[in-house]
Amino acid sequence: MEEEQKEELKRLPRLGEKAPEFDAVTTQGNLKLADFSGSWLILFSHPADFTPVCTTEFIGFAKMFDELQKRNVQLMGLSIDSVYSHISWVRNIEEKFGIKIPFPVIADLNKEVAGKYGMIMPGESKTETSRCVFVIDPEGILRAMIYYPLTTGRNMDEILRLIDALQTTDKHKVATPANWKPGDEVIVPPPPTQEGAEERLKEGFECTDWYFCKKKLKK
Amino acid sequence: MACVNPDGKPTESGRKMLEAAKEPSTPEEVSSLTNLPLFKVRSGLRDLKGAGYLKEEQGKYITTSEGIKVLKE
Repeated sequence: MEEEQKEELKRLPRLGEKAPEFDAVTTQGNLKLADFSGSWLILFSHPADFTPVCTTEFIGFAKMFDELQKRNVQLMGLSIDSVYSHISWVRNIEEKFGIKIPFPVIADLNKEVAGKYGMIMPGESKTETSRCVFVIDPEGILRAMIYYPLTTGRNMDEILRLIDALQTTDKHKVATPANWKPGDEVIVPPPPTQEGAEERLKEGFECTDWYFCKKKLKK
Repeated sequence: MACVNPDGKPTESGRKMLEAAKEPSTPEEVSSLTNLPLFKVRSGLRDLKGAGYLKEEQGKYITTSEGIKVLKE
């Protein structure tokens, strides 16, 4: 039992580490994680094709696509369905909802990618992937993960906000507070030494205390 | 394969890449010339190379005589 648990834990990806490599069949041909090097990648899973919540999510992701492109972010979906099912479903979405799905979708019939990323939650379903989102940076490092249950569609605005926050952190070496959105003040990382704490209050930031300082980013 | 059909002929995006690689080009240059996303170009160049339509030399891809021939069809 303990070994089983260890094996399960080993399979889960971790933030700040290299995202697991894959070579997968998709609706846009065979793609490897390395093919996305130099761009951000949102890899997301959905439970199954031709299901209503997933359809609303695919429409949401497609509508967000242009905003993501502006931010050098690529999108890729995944479920445990065949590539023909994916093709049929994305064509159906275009026909019935007038929305073209511009991103590739992995056909993970052997659950290889789902297994590497810990997308299957056996307590929910052993045959479907949960609603997972993995944000991978241009160097292939896993930067954020979101897991939603089968019943709950994801919030596209939150995913875009997360991308904005991560890119702001990388560009300005700052953190972002709760409910942050672009244009809001950012958090200046707390100084790690006593000397730094003494100096922090003289640095011209808007400080409540030495560990809690904010600043406005220049446009 | 995204850029090679089951009958072995290049797809429309495959043909664009072969046209772009008539001059030795990096994947980034092919992406810029064809206006195709870089991930798709990397995958497509792999397919086209596997089909013998392209060869790779020092990080640059160049269309082979076989690739030139298929472009004329």
